[in-house]
Amino acid sequence: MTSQNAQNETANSSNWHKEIMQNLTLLPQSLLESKELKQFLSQLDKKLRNTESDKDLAEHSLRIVEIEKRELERKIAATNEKFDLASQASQAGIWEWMGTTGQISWDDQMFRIYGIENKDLYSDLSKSFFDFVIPEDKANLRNSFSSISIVSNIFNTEFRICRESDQAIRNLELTALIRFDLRSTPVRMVGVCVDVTEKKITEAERLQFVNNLINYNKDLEDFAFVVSHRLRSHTSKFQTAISVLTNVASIEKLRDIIIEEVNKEAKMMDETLRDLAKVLSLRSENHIFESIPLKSFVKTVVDSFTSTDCEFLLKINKDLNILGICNYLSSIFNELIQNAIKFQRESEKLIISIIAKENANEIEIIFSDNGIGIDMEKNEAKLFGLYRKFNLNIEGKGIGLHIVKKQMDIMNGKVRIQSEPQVGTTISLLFPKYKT
Amino acid sequence: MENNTQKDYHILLVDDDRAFNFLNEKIIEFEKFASKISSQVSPVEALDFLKSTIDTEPETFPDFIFLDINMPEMDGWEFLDEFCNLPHGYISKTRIFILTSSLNPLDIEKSKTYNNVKGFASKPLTTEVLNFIRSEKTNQFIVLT
Repeated sequence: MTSQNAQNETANSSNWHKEIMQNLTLLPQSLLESKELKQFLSQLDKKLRNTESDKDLAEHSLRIVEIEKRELERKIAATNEKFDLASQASQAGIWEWMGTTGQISWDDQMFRIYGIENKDLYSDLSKSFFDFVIPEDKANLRNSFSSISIVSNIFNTEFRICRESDQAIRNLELTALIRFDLRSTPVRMVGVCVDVTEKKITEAERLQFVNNLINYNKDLEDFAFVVSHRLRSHTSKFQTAISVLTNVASIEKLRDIIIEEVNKEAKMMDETLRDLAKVLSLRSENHIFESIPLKSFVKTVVDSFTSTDCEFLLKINKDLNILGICNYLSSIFNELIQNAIKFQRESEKLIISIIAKENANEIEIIFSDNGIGIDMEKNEAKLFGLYRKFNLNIEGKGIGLHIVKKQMDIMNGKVRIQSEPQVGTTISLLFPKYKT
Repeated sequence: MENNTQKDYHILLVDDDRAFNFLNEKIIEFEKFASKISSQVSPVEALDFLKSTIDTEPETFPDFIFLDINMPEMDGWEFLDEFCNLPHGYISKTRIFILTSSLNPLDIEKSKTYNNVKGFASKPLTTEVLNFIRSEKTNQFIVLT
């Protein structure tokens, strides 16, 4: 509107654009009356005012762009935050590999996984990445990278690193998507890396627990089976005897034999039931572990056998202690000595030697005799089974070694047997060594 | 009884429990199941007995063997494996019955895999078991538990 009015006014009208007004004062008064100047100024005024409105428009647009940009940045930041949170929550580090440059980039979580505090020290991650891998896993890891092919665009591998912060060995799992170029060469990988150490430990513990349960169940099943078999052998003896007694035993002498037989069987059945109670109680007893001075302990047990005609050779360091259950240890030594006496060779004087020694991780008690021995080739599998006998003609119920094994199990120990028929038997009792 | 011809049978008992052998002998005697009863307390000795029978009086090779399964040194299965290696001419007519206190279904199945084993009976040996065996239903595997 001002530009329209300007045509009717003089050059020094105060309605010109402010740029013109400022400069008009510089002109001589005579020029100000000039019609040409007035016309020129009018055009100039128009142009200036147009430019002004363009500039406004531009500034306005710029402001909108700025607002949109800020909105976009806000959104990106929100997404990044979500991503970071998700990455932290899942404990997964994000990594990327560019095939063209061979460069690897990590997010902060990756550095945390590797236990790296000052990430500036590790600028070349493609090198550091392998440096942290423990020597045993390096070849495997390189193999899994070099076996990447177009067949699968998913990469997955596991390896162990030595974490920088505490030098702990950690298990990492790496998963990534692979992009290939037209020549099937991998050009980019983006993926996650998770520390699966705890998961692996838990998994192993779970597996161990399940295995223990399975074994325990199997044990109980075997036990029930063996017991039913054993008890049936008693009852069928009774039934047979009664059948003979009813049908046949008209002769006084035969009847006496059968009654004697029934009596014997009843005693054996009673023993069976007592033994079973003993085996069962092993499962439920309260076990009190104590430090047992081996030398004096073995001496006490051996002294109770002085009346038997056998020679004991003891070689036990007096400082040697084991952590075990007193009752069990005493029962084990008694059982082994009684077995040795029962299975001695007639032609030779029985010699029992008990040697104890300290190995790297265990305390080993070696119990050997010069008895009739066991054919290991034939009997190894059933040595510790319930009601397993290896020798005919010798009284034995086949329960002793079973109980020895169970008692050693409870004391976290192991039993090993070596034997040669007509030479002797060596039984090793291995106890874990505890740091005091 | 009416089966007088069966009196000529020779029966071998293999059980590590002497008392069982003794009592079963009496029952078999009473039932007049066989004319000759031998018993052995170990499969090893039973095999020796069978071998010497072949050498000395092959005509008395057992017609029946009552075999226990759970025995020390050598069990019933190992006995059966060894038994199969004896000269075919002698063993082909021998009918073996498992006589055990086991009720294990696996033992029953396993016993069916041996040609000579014709039945599985759980102890005690009863008249019923003997009558079954006497009834000569040879084609059928007898299970008496």
